[in-house]
Amino acid sequence: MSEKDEKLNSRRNFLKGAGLLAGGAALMSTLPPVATEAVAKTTGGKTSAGEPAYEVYNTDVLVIGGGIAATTAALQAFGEGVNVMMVDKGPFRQSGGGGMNWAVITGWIDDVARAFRYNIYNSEGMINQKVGKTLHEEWASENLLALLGQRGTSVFRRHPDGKFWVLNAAYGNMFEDYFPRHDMDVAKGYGLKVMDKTMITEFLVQDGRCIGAMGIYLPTGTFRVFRAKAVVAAAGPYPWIYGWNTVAPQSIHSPDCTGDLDAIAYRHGCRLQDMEFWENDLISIEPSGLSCSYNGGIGADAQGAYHYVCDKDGVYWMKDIPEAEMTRGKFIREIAKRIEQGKGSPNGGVYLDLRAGEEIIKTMRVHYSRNIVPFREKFGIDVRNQLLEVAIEWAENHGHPVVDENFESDLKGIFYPVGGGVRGARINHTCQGPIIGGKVSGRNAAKLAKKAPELKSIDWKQVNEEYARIHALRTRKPSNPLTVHDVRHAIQRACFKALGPIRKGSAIEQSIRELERIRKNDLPRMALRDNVQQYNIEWKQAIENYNMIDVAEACCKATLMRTETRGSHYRSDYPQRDDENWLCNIVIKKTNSGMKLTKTPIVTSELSPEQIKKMLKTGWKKEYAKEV
Amino acid sequence: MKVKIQKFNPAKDAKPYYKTFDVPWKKNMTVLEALMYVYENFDPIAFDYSCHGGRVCGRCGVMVNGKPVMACFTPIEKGTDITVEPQKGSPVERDLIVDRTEMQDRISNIERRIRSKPLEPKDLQKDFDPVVKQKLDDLEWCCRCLSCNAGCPVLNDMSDPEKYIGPAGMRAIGLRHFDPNDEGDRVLEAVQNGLYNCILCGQCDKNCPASEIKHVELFKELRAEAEKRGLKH
Repeated sequence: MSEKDEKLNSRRNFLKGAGLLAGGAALMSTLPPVATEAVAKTTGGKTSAGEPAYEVYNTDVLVIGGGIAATTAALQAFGEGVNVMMVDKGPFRQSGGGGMNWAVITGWIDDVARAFRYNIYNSEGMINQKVGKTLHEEWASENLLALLGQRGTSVFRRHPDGKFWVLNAAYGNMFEDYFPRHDMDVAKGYGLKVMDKTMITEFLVQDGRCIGAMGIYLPTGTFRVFRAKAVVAAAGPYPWIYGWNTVAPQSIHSPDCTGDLDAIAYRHGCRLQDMEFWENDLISIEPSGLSCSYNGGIGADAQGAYHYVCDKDGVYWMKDIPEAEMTRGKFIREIAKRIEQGKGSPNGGVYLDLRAGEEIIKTMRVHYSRNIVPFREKFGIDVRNQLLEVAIEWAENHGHPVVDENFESDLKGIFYPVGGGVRGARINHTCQGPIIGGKVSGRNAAKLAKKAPELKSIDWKQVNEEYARIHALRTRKPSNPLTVHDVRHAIQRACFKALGPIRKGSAIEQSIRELERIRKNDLPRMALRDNVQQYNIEWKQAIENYNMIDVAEACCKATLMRTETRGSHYRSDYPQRDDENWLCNIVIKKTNSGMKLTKTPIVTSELSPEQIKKMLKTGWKKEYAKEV
Repeated sequence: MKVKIQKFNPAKDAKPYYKTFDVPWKKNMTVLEALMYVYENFDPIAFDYSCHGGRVCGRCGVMVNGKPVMACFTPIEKGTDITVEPQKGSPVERDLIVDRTEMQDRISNIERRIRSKPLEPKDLQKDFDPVVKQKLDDLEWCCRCLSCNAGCPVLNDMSDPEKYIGPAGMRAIGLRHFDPNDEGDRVLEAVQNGLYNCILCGQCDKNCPASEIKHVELFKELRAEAEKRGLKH
């Protein structure tokens, strides 16, 4: 047989063996003729006829996620002229934060230096300035109002007379009521290929480069492999690790936000950064089914409404703080300290007093105020004559895989629109990060896809191993089983004790020991009650629990290591910011002996550590936009 | 209370069947909380949700005692037993999870703006008529849960799929009709999609979790526009 014949023969075997081949227009001709190996080496993923029991799809750029960052990256890559495939864990347009149809606040900037320097200050020095430079230059290059309006939001926030509403913030101009679901309408309109309800469980990696991903199609349990020349990882944060009420953790976030792509990256040797930092809101916790639902609840924030927050004794201790001095960080810290003094509510919060009525309600953001009537009519909770118990929830976490100035991770070939080092210790959050990061990631992924080196072969062993791993999780029968949700709630309880608004060394240490115990004793005992493959929620959650334990442990260990207070990271045993010892990052890496945490110097290009220390000492001043 | 749940795995079962569970009632307990209780304590049922009470993701739409609701936002009254079934109108993937893709795609296609030139920031910052602004604000709150379609008597008794798109799609047409930055002929689109086959019964307004959206009012306005142009049939 000639070499050419051998290749053709291999191709045929591959096509026969791999089942369905579909995907973008980078079609089979670009696949190297190697797949006889796949059949030969198959161990787990094999049908009774000896053929792989998985589907293989092929595209130029694979975007994992379905929210704001993912859709932006996909649209950007598509615009660069490559084939794009999106893989979304939930039903597309209804998954994660971007799949919630709500009034998002974001902004555009005119003065790039001012915005960049303010955000270095706002991150309390923690952001990677090389990444920050890319982000801010990109941010200045296109007016976000035009970009998002073009995608379909019909009317951004306006004053009652119909005039455009804009808030001049320290960094630029904020506008409100962007409805992100229209982004996804545009993606659908372009005909972008979206493989939704598909959960990525592992990357396809070769020679230190990510060449795709794999996972399960939830409605049927079918295993899917996605080959790509470049990958964008935009599957959101992981607040699902933090506490548990009746249907959700102490977080606004979605059940799909379990840190999958961060944990997978970590297991592939990527560094994680900023795992000790998070962001929060003050939000209602009753009725229990709507607890901490950002859109379903009623909350207060640092603009105005803090005057109406009181403690258990009915003391409005923040009411005399001038608005000019109130920041979101100060607001959350004030509440945390009050609770620490024993002045909190029975469920670990404080109270919001809206009895003053319309005068205050009309100043509230619309996604809160629209819930006041349903609270009364459906649940009998009438804010006109009763105090509302409110607590601090996880709105966002900042720890993610480290990225470079191209938003590429330590694992080459994969881009994280919101990577470690992008947000630092920032408290004030708006949604431009995922949009700008999505644009940069999508563009760079497309560039890479155009010049990606051709593969000479593929090692299909990793596919077979992953197939075997997740099916073993589905079918295993340990002698002393634990349910998937009991194991999950144990992780959530441990995180709740360690990662809240008031953090204390002894409690964090206890949580770390508990997480280590769960990893060692509980995870191996976790078993499904029903092992069907079709939309098996327990199966999905069992796979996620292995991701949650990794990000949970990383968060707790970074939180313990940072023996100071910075941003929303408030250590009650180290209540001061310590710039001498802690104007540095913590990076976390997997080693043979476990999780290794290292203090590393901050990455600077715009401002030196000395300049940052000065800014933090004096507070932000307008002249810092030009000179510190 | 008794919680009766329809179960169905198309890969195993010839037809759907019901299982009943005893769930301890508590004040303000939502249907989603009852489903979670069943899931954690009795049976790993398949159900779906995301925003947990926000009325913004639209994933937890189910039928409770025959009525379309969002499970996250529907309290169970004391002393009531409930029967929970998958939302009408979309194929069941398993138990209470349905596949809404077909209608979601139709809505996406409608909501993609039609215009000749890209928008400029000035187009977006110009003054809006406050009345139009309020209409758009209200219509934007649709979370596409499709409760309106599930309870629509026209959609539920229809042999011709061309007859009526249903309230969810008609609401999408209305959004772009009022959008001053859209240049498409949305009145024609509404008529083509069955504006006159709606019977204006108001079930969609009753079943919609977003009280801001007034379907019947919108459909009457679209009809008035259609009549001005002689498009009534």
